[in-house]
Amino acid sequence: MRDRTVVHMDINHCYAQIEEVRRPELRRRAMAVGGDASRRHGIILAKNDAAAAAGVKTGETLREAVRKCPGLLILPPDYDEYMRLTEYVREIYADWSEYVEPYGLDEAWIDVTALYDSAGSAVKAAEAVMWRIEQETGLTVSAGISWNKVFAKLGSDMAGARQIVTIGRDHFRELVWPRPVRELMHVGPAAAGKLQLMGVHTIGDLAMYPETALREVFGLPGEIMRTAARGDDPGRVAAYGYRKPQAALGMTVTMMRDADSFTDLSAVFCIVAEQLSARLRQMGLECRVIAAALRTNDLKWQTVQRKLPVPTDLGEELWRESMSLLKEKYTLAKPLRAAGLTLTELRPADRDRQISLFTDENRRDRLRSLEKACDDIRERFGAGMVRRGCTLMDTELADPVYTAEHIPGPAGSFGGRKSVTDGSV
Amino acid sequence: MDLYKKYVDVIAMHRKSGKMMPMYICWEDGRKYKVDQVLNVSRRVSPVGGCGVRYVCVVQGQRKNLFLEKDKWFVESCQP
Repeated sequence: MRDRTVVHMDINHCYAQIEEVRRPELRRRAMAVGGDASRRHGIILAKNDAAAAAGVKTGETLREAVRKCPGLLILPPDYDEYMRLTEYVREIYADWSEYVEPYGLDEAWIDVTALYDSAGSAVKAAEAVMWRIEQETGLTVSAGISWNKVFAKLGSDMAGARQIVTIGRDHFRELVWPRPVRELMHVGPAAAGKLQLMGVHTIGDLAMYPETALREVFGLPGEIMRTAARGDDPGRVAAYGYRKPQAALGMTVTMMRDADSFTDLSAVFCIVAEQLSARLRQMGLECRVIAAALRTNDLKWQTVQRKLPVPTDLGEELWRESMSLLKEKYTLAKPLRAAGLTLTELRPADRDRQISLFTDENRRDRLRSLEKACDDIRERFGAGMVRRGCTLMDTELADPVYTAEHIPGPAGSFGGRKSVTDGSV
Repeated sequence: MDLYKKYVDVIAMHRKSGKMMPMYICWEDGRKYKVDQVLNVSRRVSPVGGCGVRYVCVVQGQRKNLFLEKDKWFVESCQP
């Protein structure tokens, strides 16, 4: 069977480049797009070449970035514009092939196997597509071409702006294997740390490591990482427009001041639970597992989770469960900067579910009607129009939660975890 | 010559085919310039910043690029 030809394209420092397209004079100075420092979302989301040359890094705090590069211009993000342009770029990909799978706003895989006989003609076609993108949107992209998704992405990471890196079967050992293991998709920072301790430093080391040993340490992800390193990643490029079924739903908020008591957290979680439950009902889903993610003011994340006694789409139950989960499994040793909930094991809301002896289904139905009525009111008049008393105790803390920005993040590497977050890290 | 991005009012014809054609470009001092001909319609980025649908127009015998950027029109103007 003929090898696949998968192209991965990546819009270079996407948000910053879109700002440069709108205002070309920004190309001449160090500039970055950063979260809103007044809302404590103060991190660098993207930077231009001049800022990168000064050492500014994506993900670092605005303060750190300005220290490195004193004249740095920091622009607030304009997600509407980023979505408009990146969607247009995706349409250009879709003109090329019907297999286009976006990965976040700025990246996508395109399967062009059926279109070309050789990798050489695929490269020429990719050049033409890159030229078209630049002509029509002003954006430069980099591309990687390989027979699998993982190496295609690695290729585009290795390529500079307007460049294409082809990783073929005949030379991938020389090209890919000497590279640090962290550069491989599916290897996160935590896994990379563990791998270092095991003496696995390069992608080649990972490819040659005994499978059973990896499985013992990492479980299934270990096997996936090794398969990826060997170039055997079987992942297909999804058809354009295909959406994976929702696997998780989450919302995290960075608070206007640190939360230092369960009372503070209760108000925040109350709103988060309300908003998530409204989304669940909108999608006709209920969840089985609830996880609370907490970030202390020294920027460390911790997650606790629990399986619910009965699947639910009720805000009140999500709220009470999350608070009882926290009180049971979490000690508030340090003030919290950010907190949120993630709901998993989503499934269609099953109205004919088995009735538990210990839950009052009539009461739950009444509660559902009440919450739906509140959803309608919020939809018509605004998010904070109907609210529980506990969220009025400290409006400075609670109010901004209602207006937290919801930004779709990229689907995770394993099984398409998709969540709604405020974009803060 | 330096060019500047200048948002303008436009009077356009929405044809029953779904196409839209600019008819007049309205300058801020109240003058209206008739678009005599549209030579080309394509998606393009503009050197003055922004991108969208570019209408290459002939106005008073001169070629002029008119852009529809999302829902706003702009021209590449010689005057700031």
